[in-house]
Amino acid sequence: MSQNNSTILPAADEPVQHYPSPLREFWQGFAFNKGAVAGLAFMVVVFLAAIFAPWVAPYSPIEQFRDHLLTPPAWSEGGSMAYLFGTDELGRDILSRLVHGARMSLFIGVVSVLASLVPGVILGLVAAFSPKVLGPAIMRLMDVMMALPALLLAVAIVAILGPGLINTIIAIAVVALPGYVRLTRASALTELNRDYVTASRVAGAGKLRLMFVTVLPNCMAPLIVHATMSFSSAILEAAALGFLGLGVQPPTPEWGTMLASARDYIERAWWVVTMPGLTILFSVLAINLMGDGLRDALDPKLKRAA
Amino acid sequence: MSTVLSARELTRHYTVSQGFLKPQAVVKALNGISFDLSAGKTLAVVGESGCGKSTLARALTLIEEPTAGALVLDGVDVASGSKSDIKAMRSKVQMVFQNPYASLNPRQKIGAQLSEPLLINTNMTAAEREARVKEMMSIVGLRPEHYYRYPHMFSGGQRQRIAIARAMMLKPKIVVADEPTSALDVSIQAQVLNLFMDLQQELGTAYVFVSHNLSVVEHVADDVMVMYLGRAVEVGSKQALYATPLHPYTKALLSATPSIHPEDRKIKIKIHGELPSPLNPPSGCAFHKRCPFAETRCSAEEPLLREVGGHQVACHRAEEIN
Repeated sequence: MSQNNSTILPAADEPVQHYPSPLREFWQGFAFNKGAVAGLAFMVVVFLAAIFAPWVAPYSPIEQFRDHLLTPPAWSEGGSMAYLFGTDELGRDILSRLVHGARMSLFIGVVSVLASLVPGVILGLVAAFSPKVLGPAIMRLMDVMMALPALLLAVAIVAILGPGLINTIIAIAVVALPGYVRLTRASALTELNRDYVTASRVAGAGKLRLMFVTVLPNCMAPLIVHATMSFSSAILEAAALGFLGLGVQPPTPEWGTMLASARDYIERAWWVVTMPGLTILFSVLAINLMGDGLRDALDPKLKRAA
Repeated sequence: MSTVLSARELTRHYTVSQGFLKPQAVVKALNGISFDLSAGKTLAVVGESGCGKSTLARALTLIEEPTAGALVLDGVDVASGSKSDIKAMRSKVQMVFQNPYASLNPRQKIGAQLSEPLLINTNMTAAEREARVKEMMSIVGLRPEHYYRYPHMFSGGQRQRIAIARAMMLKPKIVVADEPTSALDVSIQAQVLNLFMDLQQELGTAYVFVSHNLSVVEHVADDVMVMYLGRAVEVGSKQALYATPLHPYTKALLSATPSIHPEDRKIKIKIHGELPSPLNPPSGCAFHKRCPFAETRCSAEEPLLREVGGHQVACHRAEEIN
């Protein structure tokens, strides 16, 4: 080196600090957000209840206790400890139905979100990276899909594919797709003009690497928020389809369907509609809190200095 | 001295839409630039904002393909080369950007960003890459634990050193630096410039140094090219150009540099007006509307670069006015 060496800061001989593994670092970032941990705890309970439903639930979800139609919950007047959350219009135990329904609802929510998130992100990135031909084609197709009312489109898709669980999920995923594509494309376009993308390109990064390694992580924040929000709308849309007789068929327990079928009893038996409603509310809240924590944990700027 | 890069009549035009039912206009951002760059030397490109400096930098790094002209890198013409030629060239020309806050990926650790060029262009194992990255980090004055940090944890000067380290990872023949010090405060500028010069001595890299700061250019350059509206108006060695500027524009630029020594202060040559629009450049010499020495010939005939007094200048009246 030259005489200018003195102007360069010398590398200090400090002992190399120990750094946590990426997983541990992620957990630290996530655990920093108390709401996210609470949400995670709630969802773990719901998931465990769903997995072990036959053992957790006091009764079968479809067993009708004809002597106990519309029994109020245990803590209110006329309730009994035998039916903790009360019974519905056919005398089925609501708690058992909620526990069994968690299986179906969580499955619909998670799978339909993933089924629209993954293709949505890929299509959005492709649209951002090929602004000449493929991009406009994809975006115009998405505009067409957005021009149709969501439920109408879902009904049309189910009508074509036929009713059933998988077809319901496909319909919900297709309806949610344009949101993800537009969101991904918009954030990718703003990132694309940044110098660090150019630097990667100069270093020789190919298109795929630029898309998924360089640009995508910088677009994650709005995508995570959107994905957690659409989890709830997926459950409700599944309920709407079920209500129209196109989704999950009765007597299979499912939160949205329970909510929809209970609307006749809102004035006489509040618990029939309140219990599934609160369950959906808390699940959605927990997932949104988890989404916030996930977003924070993935954002290096919010991590405390390593 | 071997030439590592030579540009011949490098041209970059952009077509811009002027609105519905109007013809498209052509912006001549780069209008025939020629130069040779020798290994281990520094060519500084100076000029005011909008003269095409950054476009030249982008053309040299192959981020944007030149519209016309030849760009010969190590004997291969890349401007008209095939995709595989360009891919092979990637590792030979690297770039350092103006804004160190935008040129590092906020979501990647420094170690990952520095090893990316190695990951893409070499077959090194992960351990070898890490060793090389840490070696380069110590050369630019970063501590080993910085390997695990994110860009937002660094100051502007440190970030620029990280950016320089990334550009140097593949030991390129040419580094294009697009105003690398203009976003830094003055105390850090010297540090970064000295790092540039140390690396040049050690690795024999040739620099194309784009800047509008003439004192920085005087510090680092071997040769200087003054640009005006997409053309080179004066090219020469640093000594010749700073001692005897021939083009009126160069004179004005140099006289505008402030000096603290009263005896160095020259009479300021004022040029009026703004850089003309590249959409509609003036006829003849692009500078004639602002030139204090302009005559009728200047507005009619475009001056070409010619040898006058040891360096090249594009002015009809270079002999008369000096």
